[in-house]
Amino acid sequence: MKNFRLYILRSSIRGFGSLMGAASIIALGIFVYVAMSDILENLTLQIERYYQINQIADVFVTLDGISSKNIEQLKSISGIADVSGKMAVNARLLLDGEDKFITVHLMSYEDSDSLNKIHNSTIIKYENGIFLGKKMVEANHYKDGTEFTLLINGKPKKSILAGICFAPNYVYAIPSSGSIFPDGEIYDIGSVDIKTMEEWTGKKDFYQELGIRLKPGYTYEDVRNQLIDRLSQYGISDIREKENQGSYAMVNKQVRQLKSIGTILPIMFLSVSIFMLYVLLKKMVEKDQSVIGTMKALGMTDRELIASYMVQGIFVGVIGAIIGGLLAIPVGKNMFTLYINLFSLPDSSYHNFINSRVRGLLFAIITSILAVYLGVREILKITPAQAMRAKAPETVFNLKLPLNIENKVGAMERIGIRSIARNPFRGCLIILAIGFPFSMTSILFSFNQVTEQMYFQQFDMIQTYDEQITLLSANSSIKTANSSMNLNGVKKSEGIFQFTVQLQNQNKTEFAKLYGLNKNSDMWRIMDIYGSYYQPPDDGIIIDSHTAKKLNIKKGDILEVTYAGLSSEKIKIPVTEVIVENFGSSCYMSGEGIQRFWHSKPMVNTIIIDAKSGYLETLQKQILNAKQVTWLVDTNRILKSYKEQMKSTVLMVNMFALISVAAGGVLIYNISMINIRERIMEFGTLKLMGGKDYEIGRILLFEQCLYFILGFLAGIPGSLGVRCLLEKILSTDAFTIVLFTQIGAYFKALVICIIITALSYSAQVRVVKKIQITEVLKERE
Amino acid sequence: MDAIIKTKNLCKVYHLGEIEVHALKNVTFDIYRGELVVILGPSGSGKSTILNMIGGIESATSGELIYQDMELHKSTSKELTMYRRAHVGFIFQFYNLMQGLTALENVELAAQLSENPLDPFMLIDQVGLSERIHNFPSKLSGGQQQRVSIARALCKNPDLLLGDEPTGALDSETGVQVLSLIYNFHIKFKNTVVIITHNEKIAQIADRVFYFKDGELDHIKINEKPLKPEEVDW
Repeated sequence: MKNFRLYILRSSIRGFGSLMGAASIIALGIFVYVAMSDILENLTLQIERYYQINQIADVFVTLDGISSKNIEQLKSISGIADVSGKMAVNARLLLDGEDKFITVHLMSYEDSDSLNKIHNSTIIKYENGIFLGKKMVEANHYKDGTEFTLLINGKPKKSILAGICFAPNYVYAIPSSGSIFPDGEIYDIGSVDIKTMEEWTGKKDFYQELGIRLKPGYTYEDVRNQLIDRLSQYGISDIREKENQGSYAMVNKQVRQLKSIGTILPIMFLSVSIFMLYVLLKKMVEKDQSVIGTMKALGMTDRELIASYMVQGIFVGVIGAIIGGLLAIPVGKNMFTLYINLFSLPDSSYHNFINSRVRGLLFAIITSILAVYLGVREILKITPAQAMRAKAPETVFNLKLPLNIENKVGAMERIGIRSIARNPFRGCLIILAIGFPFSMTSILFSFNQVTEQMYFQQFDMIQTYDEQITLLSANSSIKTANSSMNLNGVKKSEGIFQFTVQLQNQNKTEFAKLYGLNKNSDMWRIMDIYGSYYQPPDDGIIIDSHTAKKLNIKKGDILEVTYAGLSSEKIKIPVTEVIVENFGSSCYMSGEGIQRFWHSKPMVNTIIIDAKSGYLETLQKQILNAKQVTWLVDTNRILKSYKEQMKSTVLMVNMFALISVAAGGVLIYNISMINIRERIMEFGTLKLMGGKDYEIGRILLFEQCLYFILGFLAGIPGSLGVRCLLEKILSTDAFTIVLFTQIGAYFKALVICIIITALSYSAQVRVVKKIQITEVLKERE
Repeated sequence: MDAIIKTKNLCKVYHLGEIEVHALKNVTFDIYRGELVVILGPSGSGKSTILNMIGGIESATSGELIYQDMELHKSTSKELTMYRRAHVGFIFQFYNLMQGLTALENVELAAQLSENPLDPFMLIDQVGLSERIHNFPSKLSGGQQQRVSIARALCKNPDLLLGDEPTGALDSETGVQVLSLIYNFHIKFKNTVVIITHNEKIAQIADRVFYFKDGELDHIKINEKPLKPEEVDW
C-alpha cells in the first residue's frame, strides 16, 4: 500500500494550495485555542497561586467599624473558621504639582493578618511609610521615597512611599462608583501598618473590612443571615461571598470570557476547516473514482483505501497545529500583557505551555481525520465495476427561465445559470463561504461601535454632568446646593443622595447602591438599554434587572430596604419598575421618595456639576483644594480611561475580524478553485469550440455575482446567530451588552466580501487562461 | 480437465428505475486451469458482466459461480476483495494506471497487494519498458501504458488474468504487441486468461471461444490449433 499512499501524496502535492488552505484555517482555530489556553493557564495559575498564598477569604463584609474583640466573637457562629479585620479608609493623595484628583483605598496590615493578606514589596518599614498599588506607582512614575500628603477624613497626614503592595481582594482595583475599569493614575489601593493607620484615622481597634473563612462543608448561605444579624449594629453596608466580591468577580468574568472565546472561536474555525477538508476530499474521491475502483478491483480493501486518504488529514492537521502553535507564541504573549495590565499581581511572567499545544495538535488531527473520513466515506460506495467504465453523466436539472429573461441574457449567462442549477451542492458551498466572513465581520465590526456607543450613551444620555463630587458627610440639600453654586465655573449643579442599602425579599438579601435622584433632571436620568426614560419615583423604587433576578422580585412587589444611616428599621417600598441597564446593579428613587419613606430631612452627599464652557479646569482646581470632597468622578477621565482600556478589546476584536476574513478568504478561494478545476474539461471544450477567455470569464462572473448575492443574504441571519452568541458571552452582572448590527459594519463586511470574491474570481480567470486545449483533448472523459 | 471457474445458471439483473435489464440469463460453463478463453459478443451481449463476475467485481443475481472450491455467488464483499487480491489480475481497456505514479511504481503497487508477487523490475523489463520505468503515465503512449497495465496485472502472480478489451484503445500494430505479451506470459506462467473483445480475430489465439448474445452463452467454439498473435492475419 506504500505506493498507493505515494499516489495520494502526489495528488496532494497537486492540490497543495487547497490543502494548505484547509491547514491555514485549522491553524487559525488552533492558534486561537493555544493562545487563549496559554493566557488562561498563565492567568489562572498566577491568580490561584496568589489567592492561595495570601489567603483570600470566603466572605467579605464592609461596615462602619468593629473591634477586634467583637470580630473574635464572630467565630462562635457555626460554620465560621476564621475572621480577620482590616482598618480601611479612602484617602486623597496630594503631591506638589499634581493636578489630578487621586484617591487611595488605604488598608491596614498586621503580622497577625490571617486572611486577605497584603503583600508588600519590602519588609523594611519607614516611619509613616505607605505602600501603594502597582498600577498607581507605575502610571504616575512614583519612586520609593516620594513624599506625599494624605488627606484622611479631611485632615492632612505626611507620608512617604515605601514600595508596592498587592491585596488578593483588589487584584482588579476599581472604586465603588464611577468606573468599571481600573485607572491606576487616579485610584488604587495603599497599605500602612496598623499603628500608623490608627494614628492617622484617630481610631483605635476599629476595623471596617472583614474577611471570613468558612469551615469545610459550610456555604455562604449557612452563615449569611447570622452574620447580618450580628453585624447590623456595626453599620454593615455590604456582605458578599467571594464569587460576588468586586475584584474576584471581575477577574472571574475576564477568565470566563477568555474561556468562552477560547472555546467558541476555535470550534467555529475548526468547523469551517472540517467543512473545507470535507469538500476537498469529497471532490478528490469523485475525481479518483476510477482509481479507487481500480484499486478495489486489484484487491485493496475499503479500510486500506480510507486509511491512505486519512494520511492527508493527519498531514493537514499536523501542519495546521504546528503553524497555529507557533503563531500563538508571540500573539499569546502580547495578548497576555494586555490582560495582565488589567490586574495587579506580583507575578506577571508568561510561559508557553506544552500541554495546550499537545491538546491543540490532538484537536487538529481529530478534526482533520473526521473531515477526511466524512469526505472519503463515499469510497465505500464505489464498486470495482466503476473502474471499468467512465462515470456516467448525472441527470441534470435543466432550469427553464421565463422567456423574457431567457431572451435578455446572453449565451454565456445561460450556461452560468444552468451550471448553477445542475450543481446545487457546489453553489451551497460558495454561498456558505461568502456568508461566513460576512456574518463574523459584520458583528465584530459592530462590536467596537456598540461598546463605544454604550459608554457614550451612559455619559451623553444618562449621566450627562461633567463632575460628580462625593462629600465627606451628608449635608442639607439647600446648604450644599448653595455652596456648589459658589464654585467658579459652575453652569448648573444638583445634589443627590446615594448610599448602600440592604434589599430584602422574603429570605433573599442583596446590597445595592440606592440613588436619590431629582425629578425632571437633565443631568442624571434613568434610562434602560432600549432608550426609555423613567422618572425617579416618589412612591416606590426602580430596580435593575440583575438585582431583581437575584431577589426574585418583580414590578408591583414590596421590597424591604434597610439603611442603618437613616433608620435601623426595614422600610417596605413597592417596586415601580424593573429595568435593564447597561451597567451595574443599582436602584433609584427620587430625593423626595427617600424623605417620605425614611421620614428624613432633605439630604445630599453627592453633587453633580455641569461646568461652563472653558471652565472645567478652573472648576477641577477648586475641587482639588476642597477638603470636604472624598471622591471625584470626572466623566471625561472615565471616557479617556475607557478608551485606553478598550484598546486591548478593540485589538482583540479586530484580530478576530481579521482571522474571520482570512478564513473566509481561504474558503472562498479554495472552493472557487475546486470549482474551476472540475470544469477544466467544460471550459476547455468551450475554448476548443472557439470561445474566448473573456466569454468564459462572463460565465464565471455571472455565477460569482449570483453566489455573492445569495451568500450576502445567507450572511444576514448568520450575523444574527453570531450576535446572540457574543451577547451571551459578553454580558455579565456588571454590564449587559445588547449588540445591534450597524449599517456601517454591514457595509464594511460587504466590501470585504466583495474584495475576497473578486480576488477568487480573478484567480479563476487566470486558470481559464492557462487551459491548454491539447491537454483537454488527451483527457479520457 | 480441472475447472478453475464453474458457472451454473448464472443470472444478472440490473434495475434501472422501473426497468429490469437481464444482462445475463442462465449462463453455464466451465473455464479450465491454464486455458486462454476469449469471450466474444456485440455490445450489450453480457460479456463485460460475466468478466466482472468472474473477477469478483459484481455479484450474481442468481445461479452459481465457483472459483476452485470458493462459492463466489455466496461470498461477502470482504471475501470477494480477498479473492481479487489473491487470485485475480486485471487488464483494463483504458489502462487505469495511477497518473501520480511512475510505471515502476504502478507495478510495485500490485506487488504490495500480493502475498507472492513477481519481481516488478523483471516484469517491466519483460514488457519492454526498462528504459521508461520512471516515466509517469502521461509520458507514455497508449501501448506503453497498456504494457505497464499488463505488468501490473501479472505482478500479483494471479491464477486468473482477466482482460477487458485490452486492445480496444490501441491501434492494430500496438494491439498485436500487447496481445503477444499476454499470450507469452500465459504460456510462460501457465495462468488462466480470459479476454473479452469485439474483435473476432483475437478469438484465433484462444483455446476456446465463448460466443455471447443477448445475455446468453450462444455457443462455445474450441480451437484445435490456436494461433500465436503474430500468426494471426490482422
